[in-house]
Amino acid sequence: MKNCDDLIRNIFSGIDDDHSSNLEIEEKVIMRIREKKDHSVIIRKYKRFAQVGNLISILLFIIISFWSIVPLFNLNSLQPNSEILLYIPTMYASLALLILFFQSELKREMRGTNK
Amino acid sequence: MRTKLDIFYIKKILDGDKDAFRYFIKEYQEMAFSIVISIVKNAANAEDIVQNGFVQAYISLRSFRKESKFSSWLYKIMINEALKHVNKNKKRFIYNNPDYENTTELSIDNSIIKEISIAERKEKIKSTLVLMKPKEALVLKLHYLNEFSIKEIMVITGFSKSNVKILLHRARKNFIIYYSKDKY
Repeated sequence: MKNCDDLIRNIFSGIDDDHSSNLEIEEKVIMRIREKKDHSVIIRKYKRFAQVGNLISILLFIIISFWSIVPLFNLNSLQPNSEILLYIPTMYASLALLILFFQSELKREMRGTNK
Repeated sequence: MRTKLDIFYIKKILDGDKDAFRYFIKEYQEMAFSIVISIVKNAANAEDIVQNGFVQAYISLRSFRKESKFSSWLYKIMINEALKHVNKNKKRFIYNNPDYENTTELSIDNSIIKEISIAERKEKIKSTLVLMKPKEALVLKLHYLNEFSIKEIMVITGFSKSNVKILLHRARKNFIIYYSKDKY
């Protein structure tokens, strides 16, 4: 194998690596970078929106869980109006749908940038 | 010197100066192209991949840890992009193993090599590398043409030491066989 190594070194001696003397990619890359940069601003906006959505969803989840746990301890004084209680799951479901929509939008945008 | 300049320009880019990225394109495009073409074997595809590689490098610049050289990090991105392209178009890339039985390993006369003009040898090397498998061609080129050590190849490619050694061993063998097919 040493002979093989010497032989290849001999073959490559004096050869320089000048494959790309007329490569013109600078402007194209800069243009694409500018496009990507603009895209990332939109993504950041969506991301913040999704984060706020997630926070609201977590808070609602905690409140609903709390109201479902309270009757177990017979703390009747803390039990909210049953009519309001009916609206909460509907509100929660619509909010969850809204959050899901923004999250899927965000994912779609992210896929677009990676292309 | 280059490393200091690299760090200086990275800082500028991270501070919002998009045009500072031109420095990296000017500085590294040739080497990046040379690495990528040894994998994909086609100039047009290589150019597209190099563009993608640079864009990818720009996007993930924040994740670059200054412990390693910027060039190694960039070449790693380029190699990944090129290998991704090869894997995607696997059907189009068909490499036949050379005929080991009918070829003696050292069928080239060492003394004749120097008699052939550099331009001729260059063309022959190019056409031989095209026939070789992407990873073998890449490792051979990095080792013999760009004179990178095994350690440096490990950093650039992300391959393990044993993997680089095995690839280099196979690449040497196959290179000699393909190269000696056309007699002088």
